[in-house]
Amino acid sequence: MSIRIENLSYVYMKGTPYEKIALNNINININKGEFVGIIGHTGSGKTTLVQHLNGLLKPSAGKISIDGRDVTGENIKELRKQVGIVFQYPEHQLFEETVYKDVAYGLLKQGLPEEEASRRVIASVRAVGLNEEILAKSPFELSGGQKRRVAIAGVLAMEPEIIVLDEPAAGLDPKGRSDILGFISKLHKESGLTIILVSHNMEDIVKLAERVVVMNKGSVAIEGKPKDVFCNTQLLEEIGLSAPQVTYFMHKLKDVLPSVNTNILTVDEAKTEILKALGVCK
Amino acid sequence: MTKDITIGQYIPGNSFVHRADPRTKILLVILYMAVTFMAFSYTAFLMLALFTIVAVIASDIPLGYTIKGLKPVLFIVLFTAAVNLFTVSGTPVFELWFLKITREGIELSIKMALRLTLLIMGASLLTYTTTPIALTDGIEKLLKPTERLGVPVHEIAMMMAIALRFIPTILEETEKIIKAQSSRGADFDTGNIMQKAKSFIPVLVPLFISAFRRADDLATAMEARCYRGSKGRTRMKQLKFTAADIVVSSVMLIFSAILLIVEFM
Repeated sequence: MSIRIENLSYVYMKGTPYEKIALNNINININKGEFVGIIGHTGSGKTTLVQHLNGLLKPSAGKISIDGRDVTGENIKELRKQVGIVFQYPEHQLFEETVYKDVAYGLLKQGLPEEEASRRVIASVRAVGLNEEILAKSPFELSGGQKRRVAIAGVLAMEPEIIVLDEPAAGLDPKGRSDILGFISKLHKESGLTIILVSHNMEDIVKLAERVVVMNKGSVAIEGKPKDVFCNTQLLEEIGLSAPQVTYFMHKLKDVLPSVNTNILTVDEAKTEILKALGVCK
Repeated sequence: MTKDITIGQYIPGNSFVHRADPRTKILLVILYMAVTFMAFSYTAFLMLALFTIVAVIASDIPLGYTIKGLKPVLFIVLFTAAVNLFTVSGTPVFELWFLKITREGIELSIKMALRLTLLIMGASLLTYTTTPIALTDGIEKLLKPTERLGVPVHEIAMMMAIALRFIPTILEETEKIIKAQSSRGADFDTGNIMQKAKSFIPVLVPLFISAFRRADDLATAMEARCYRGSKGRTRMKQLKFTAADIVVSSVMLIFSAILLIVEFM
């Protein structure tokens, strides 16, 4: 499913003294099966933008279409089945007595038969890297990282074709972080889901996204392949962001090792590049 | 959705009313309420309405904003008016089966609706122009004398301040949870009353959990900063009466006097 966002604007509390333009004339196209990263500092409009994708917010102006159909005219329930959004700190929305019931919540709301629901619950719990033993436990006795995964499983169980994750790794330890990012990447590669990852962590975005949209003050500041976006360090810094640390490292390294290429975004790329520059074969 | 509730939300400004001491404003609102309940003639209501509108404009609060703020209480106003309309006895003008509308009923329900609307507009002017902190400070100061009778004034004021402080936070949280649950298939609009009430369980459980978590955190943070109640506590911002208080009080007192003279002479 492809998403087309045209001239989208959104104003909070329109007509009051607290009026605030959150989004200003946004144009983005996202193709089927693409992995898009949206970055921007706090308050840049990232979260507001993604909430339009499943009709939680209605555009103040402009339009959003999914597979050519206007989102605002769509049956909202159908739309939410197709576009799953995982909010920031999704573990705060857990409420059922058992993990099973919590993950199955949306499915049973849809009126799916018990068997199908159960199949999907098990599949999605596995997809987030948990095993079935957890299903009988109370979600409140799990660790932070496990809670987060259960909450994500609740969205995955709906089997959406587009999945939006808002800061899915925020506040987790390094292990929890790489686990979560690991299964997100796997979901994208194996099931061909369209994934939109919202984050302000450059390293995560670089590792996973095929295309990056940089938001600033409610507008799209830069858009393109990670390489093209992150080589623009100056602009990124102007809007309060930065390139990955390893890119800065490569810039410094160039002072002593002039032959290295500085257009490097990940540690792995840096390793290969340095070995090449030193004349050591792989 | 919850953001549309504008009643009672503080609006920053620098008018005379904004600058007046919260104690003055609280006392004046009480006076305003008393006057509203003493008004019976249409002339008095007209005067009150004009005064309220002028007061709103003089406070730099957009008039449309205050009217929009009335929306959540519209039901109460209409309900009161309806009850009055059908229950007051007098000369009947319309009769159908057990329903009877009297001329007195019509008059009273119009006045009741006007009175409630004006009361709410006037009272919300206090919260529109006073920050919650200033408001609780004012209440604490005004209630100070009752401390001798054993009333825990500081604690009451602190609880109010905390409650007021967390209203926007909890509204925001509620909205976030509603959005998260609707994203995974929750439906809050269809079904009968029981089903609707039940559909809010997925919102209420997480909301309570987060409220308790916040309460815990806040208590720890307060203790970490050595909070121990009112004893020996000083204030950074001292309340002071200024010229603004004299202006605001004079206007209100003169108006009340005129209104009462018109009404009872």
